[in-house]
Amino acid sequence: MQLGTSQVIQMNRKKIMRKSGRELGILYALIVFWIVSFATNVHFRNINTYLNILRESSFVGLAAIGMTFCIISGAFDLSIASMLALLAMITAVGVEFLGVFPTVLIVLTLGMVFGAFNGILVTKLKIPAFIATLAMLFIYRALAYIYSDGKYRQTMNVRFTNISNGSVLGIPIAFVIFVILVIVGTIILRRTPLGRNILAVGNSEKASLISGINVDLTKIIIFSLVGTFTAASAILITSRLWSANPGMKPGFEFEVIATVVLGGTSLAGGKGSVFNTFISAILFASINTAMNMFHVDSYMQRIIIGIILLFAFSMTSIREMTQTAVRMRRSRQQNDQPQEGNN
Amino acid sequence: MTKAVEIVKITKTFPGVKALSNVEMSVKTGEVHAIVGENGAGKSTLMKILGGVYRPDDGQILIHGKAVVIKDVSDSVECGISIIYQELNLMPELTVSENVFITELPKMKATGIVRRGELYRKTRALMERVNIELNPDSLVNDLSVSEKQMVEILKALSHDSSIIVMDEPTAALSNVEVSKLYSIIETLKARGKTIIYISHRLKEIFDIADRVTVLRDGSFVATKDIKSLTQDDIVRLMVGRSVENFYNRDHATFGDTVIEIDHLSCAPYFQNLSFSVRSGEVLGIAGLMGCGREELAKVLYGLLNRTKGRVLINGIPTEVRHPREALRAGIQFVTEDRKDSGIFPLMSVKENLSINIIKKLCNIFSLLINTEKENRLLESYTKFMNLKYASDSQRVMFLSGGNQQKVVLARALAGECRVLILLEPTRGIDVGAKAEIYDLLGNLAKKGIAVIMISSDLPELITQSDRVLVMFQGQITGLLERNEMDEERIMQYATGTHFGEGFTGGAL
Amino acid sequence: MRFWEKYGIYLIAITTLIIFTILTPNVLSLSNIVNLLVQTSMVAIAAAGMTFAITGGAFDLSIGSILAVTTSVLCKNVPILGIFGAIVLALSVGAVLGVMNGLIVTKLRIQTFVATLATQIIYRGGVLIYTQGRDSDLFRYLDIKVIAGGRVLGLPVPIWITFTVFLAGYMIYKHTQFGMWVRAIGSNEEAARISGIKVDRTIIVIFVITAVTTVISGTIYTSQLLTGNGRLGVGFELEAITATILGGTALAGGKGKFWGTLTAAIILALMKNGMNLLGVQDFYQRLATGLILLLALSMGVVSERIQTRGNRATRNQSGDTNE
Repeated sequence: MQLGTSQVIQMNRKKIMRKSGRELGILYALIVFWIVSFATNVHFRNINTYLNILRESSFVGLAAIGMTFCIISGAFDLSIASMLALLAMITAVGVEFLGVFPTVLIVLTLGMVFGAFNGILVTKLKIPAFIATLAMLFIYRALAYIYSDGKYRQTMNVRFTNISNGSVLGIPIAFVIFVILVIVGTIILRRTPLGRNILAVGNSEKASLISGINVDLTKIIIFSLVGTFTAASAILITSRLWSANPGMKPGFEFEVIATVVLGGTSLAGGKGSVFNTFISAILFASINTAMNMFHVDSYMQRIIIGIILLFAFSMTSIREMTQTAVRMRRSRQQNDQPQEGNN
Repeated sequence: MTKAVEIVKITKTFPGVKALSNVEMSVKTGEVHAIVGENGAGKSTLMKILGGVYRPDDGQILIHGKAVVIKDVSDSVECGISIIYQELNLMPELTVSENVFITELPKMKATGIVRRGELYRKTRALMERVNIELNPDSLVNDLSVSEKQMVEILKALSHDSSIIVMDEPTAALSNVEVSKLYSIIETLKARGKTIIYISHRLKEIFDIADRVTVLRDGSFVATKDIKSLTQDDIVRLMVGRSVENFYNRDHATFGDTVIEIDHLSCAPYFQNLSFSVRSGEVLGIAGLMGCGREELAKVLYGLLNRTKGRVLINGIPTEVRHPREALRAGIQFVTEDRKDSGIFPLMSVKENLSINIIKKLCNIFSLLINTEKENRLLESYTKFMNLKYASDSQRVMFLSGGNQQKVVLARALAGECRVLILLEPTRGIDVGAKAEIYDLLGNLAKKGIAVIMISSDLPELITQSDRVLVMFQGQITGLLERNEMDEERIMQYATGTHFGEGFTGGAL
Repeated sequence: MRFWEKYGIYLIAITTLIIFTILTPNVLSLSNIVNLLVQTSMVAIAAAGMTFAITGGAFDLSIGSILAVTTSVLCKNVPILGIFGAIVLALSVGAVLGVMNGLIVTKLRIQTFVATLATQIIYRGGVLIYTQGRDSDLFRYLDIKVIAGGRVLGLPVPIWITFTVFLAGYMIYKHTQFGMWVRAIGSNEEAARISGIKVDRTIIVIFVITAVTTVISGTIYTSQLLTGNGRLGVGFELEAITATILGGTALAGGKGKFWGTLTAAIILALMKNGMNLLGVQDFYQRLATGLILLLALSMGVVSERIQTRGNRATRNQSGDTNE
């Protein structure tokens, strides 16, 4: 039953091509989108538009890195919008009193702690992740209001606001941070035991248990990663807006989840890629920018986002359906030909 | 006699597996037609196609001579087919009568409200017809497994179908209940129904079937009159070659005791078990469903907690409360449910192999995985186990069942392995892979690993084990040496009838 | 533990009532009780629909947006079609949105939770376009006030409506084929499919029910406040889900508790009412809602865990080892 070497190589090549075709689809989509926009709208012929898109993509994108881990593990975190509001309020206050560096450290740590708390609800109280984080969505938002007494906070610290509004060598600082964290995220997922454990838990919790993985701990770490990356988003958004308010960014969790799912991470868990999330975030920012430039009504924008979401969510089943159809056709063709052995 | 069911060139493929290829068979009206084949031969897939759960990729089905397309369950019922599935398909939160008549509830015309009284009477009448005694109003959740099986049978009979398919209906039944099922089948046959009967237990097939069809690896092998066959004939048809040549291995010499189980209990599953396994020895464990052998394996691996007793590894009492501790003690475990808890379907072969020992594959100075080491691991096991895959990054779900099982085994061997616990090591894999796994088992024993193998496949136990331990209702009823092993004796111990009574088992 | 599962919610209700009676004697005044029940009705009716959904293993997160749609459709159409015509229109719009949810879930095979998350955004976008983001009101059509303010046999109409909805819901749940199918699907969807139940169609009807009950809630809401806009009802779905889960409907599906849902809705209204009377700030009330939801959730898990332990023991006696 041994296959010839040349046969194996040929199969490899085919597989690799098919694989890249599937997994880099989002990158091609982005390129096509840019080409079409470039051709149809004068604003898209200006380098600043693209730089701005990259900057804007960072804010959702950062949180999406964390969410990628979460969705790979088969869960999602709906509390991040509220958590972001709370962390942003703390950032805005902290920067005024403590300075930039200590605030950043504190907020990142708090994000980690909040995330871990979500993780504990999910693992130790065994509440399904979506419901647990739904409840936390209320609670973090309420805490944001209580903490701020319902008032918005401004910050005038230029060193701080420069993070999201400034550039180095023409490239937005926020985007530089985004790229660095994408690399870190990719390394965590692909090259560390933690990343393997996350993938394993997303594939099969039972098998993970048998492999000696501490499933609960892994999940708690995943949720703390979500919290930490959300904290990073909160810091950058506060810096971008020069302010924070307790009601900010409702629906942020949908944008983030949509970004991750559109990037090809399966909602059922088990597979995904930080790099694709990165591209997907840029694509989303491009779509938003384009909608503004084409003067799409802001309410219409929501509908479009919702439809993109639906599309992203149904991608798995659409792909499955086409695969089944292809398989059926192939088997019919095969039956017309003489049978060959299969291994 | 006319033909009730004709199956013409049915083909069905799942990702990575060809479940059925060009199967052709026919069933006469009014007969009891048995279908046999090894695990993975395609029997259940074929039945699910008849039942409208799967749709074939290609082929045709004729019912009473008419070509039909079965798109979903209701089409199947309309064709007069009822199916009793191997896995129980009941709604636990509903009552017995609701389960039985869920698609044919008697309703008031005006309001659509279900007539409880009539529902009750209908269920009772059906029960009386086939002599089953259950309370129609009790929740299915509260029933025992064999009672649930009875509900499943009632459900299939409720449609008054002309063709009734039974997929391993006796798996959870006691001897008394099996004979009750026989009489139900007799009644149905007398009323002109056609019955397709799938079973592993050859004895049953000789008891009730008129004709038998054998499937092997998704293909049709033969349809024969049962009277013209012996058990050995059927086995030969199923396996594709003579059994004697197929199973056999060299038996190694044994070393010191590696694992000793001392008065181990886990209430309420098993009590007071004591035995030991030496290095180089394969200890088989036999027993029927529910005898506590799976739980025993789980306790040894730390998936369940013992309530009493000790486990000694190399003479040292070892506490195993979690798989992590088991792995540390050199105990490895291969699950019986490969799909559910064995493989990581969306991960690559390499990632599946290395997950247990991933921390050991890291560079010393950092937390990063050393890909060099990982690739070497993959290479060595690809060679050692003769793994077949298309590329390094191919997802395990696309491999054949046999190759998946080899990956799971390789994962266990990649770590420190003193004791290897195997649950149903060859379930659902093809004959070729089975032979390879037996070869491997011999090699492992030679290397001095102590193997504990739990299997429902008696020929497998008999040919592969050095000793067989038999369990019944949570206790050890027999420990057989090589020269004492035969199917009959094992079944006697496993059914608790070793004190002289006959048995009806004979599971293959 | 069976006792807790059955009657726990009523114990909580009585305890809450006692606590708030001690803190604020006003709670028990007749006018406040009637007022409270009217307040309850809006969440309770939608929660009755949600009870069906969760029993069938589905979630509908789009009902907050459907509430906004209802208020807007009513406010814009009562002047044109009259009260009756406008309500019929609102019900039809609701049913269509429900069918859309159902089709998306069944045909695109997206988890209900995620699918309705997306339609929530879409529906809200739609209603904002429809109203162009502006408020509309019915201040010149006070006839509609009869729905929320009128009384029959001394009791306000919303209380009658609530009672009717729950009675009908319970009857359907317990005694009709549809109810049994919903329970069957929630209990074991695969088995339901194999048994020949029309699973997809049943799920679509479930979403129509959640949408229509929400329209009824929205009608009472509009008749009380006389205004409508596209931003109303944010978080409404969470209140309905909280009431349902607190009421004892199993998150895993298969087991619905209609009277539990109603009681839980009353408890939630009672707490809101009591906190208002005590002058607790809105922020803290939201915090309390979240905490109660968490409490309700972990309670279910705890009692379930105890139950499975019991089950395992009985199951073993009957000789089954399948986990």
